[in-house]
Amino acid sequence: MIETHSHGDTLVVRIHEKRLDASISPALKVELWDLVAQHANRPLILDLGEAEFMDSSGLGVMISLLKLLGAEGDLKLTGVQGAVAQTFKLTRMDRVFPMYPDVDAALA
Amino acid sequence: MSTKTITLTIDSQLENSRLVGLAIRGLCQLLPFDTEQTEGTELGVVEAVNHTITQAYGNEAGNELSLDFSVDDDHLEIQIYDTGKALEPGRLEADTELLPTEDPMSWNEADSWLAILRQTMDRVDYYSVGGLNTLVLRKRLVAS
Repeated sequence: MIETHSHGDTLVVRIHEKRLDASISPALKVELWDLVAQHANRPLILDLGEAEFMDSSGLGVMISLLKLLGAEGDLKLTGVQGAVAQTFKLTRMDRVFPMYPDVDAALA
Repeated sequence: MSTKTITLTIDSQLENSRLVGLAIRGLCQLLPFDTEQTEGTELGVVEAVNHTITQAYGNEAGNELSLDFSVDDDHLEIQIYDTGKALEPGRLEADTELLPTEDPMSWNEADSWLAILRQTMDRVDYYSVGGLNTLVLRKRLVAS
């Protein structure tokens, strides 16, 4: 479901799912939380470029990750587009998450 | 005025909301909706189905959930039927904030479905009669 690679100290996580919905959100949350536990204190870029749809359960995974990382955490989202971007916008969470067009922009 | 209706019946499992989402997306692409309206309709219907499965049926499989997608000259109407636990009276009218303005991180996923429905649909109604619950979502076909 996810693939990770490092750019210096930053951990880049690509989610290989087209739909971030209630059928996969619980498993995705476990994978991401495990990843954060293994890579504590590293800046994190979450690449959602493959996702074409996200419901509130998928958004809940992103918010839980933000809460898990806490105030000192460094989480950036990339590749947010189309229906995924609309879910962020409708729930006003586009104001909460730092978003970049792609991984290169987030790393710059 | 002619009305065309498609009925979809699923078992109460969250993976089936994906099927519903893809079906409504396909239907909306045949209607005079722009991309944002199509995506919003899909999101609203998926949220409604997820809520029905998790709240009306307690996330237990083996229960039937039916959806009627009806299109007339002016509206798309989606009726979602279940026989599970009814929505508490007044819940639909409750003042549900999309996002708490003072603390965005207190956003509650469980409460978000209704706020999303209000954002994505033109009208939302709910009836519970004789053990049959019906959530009605309406959206104008007129391009915004």
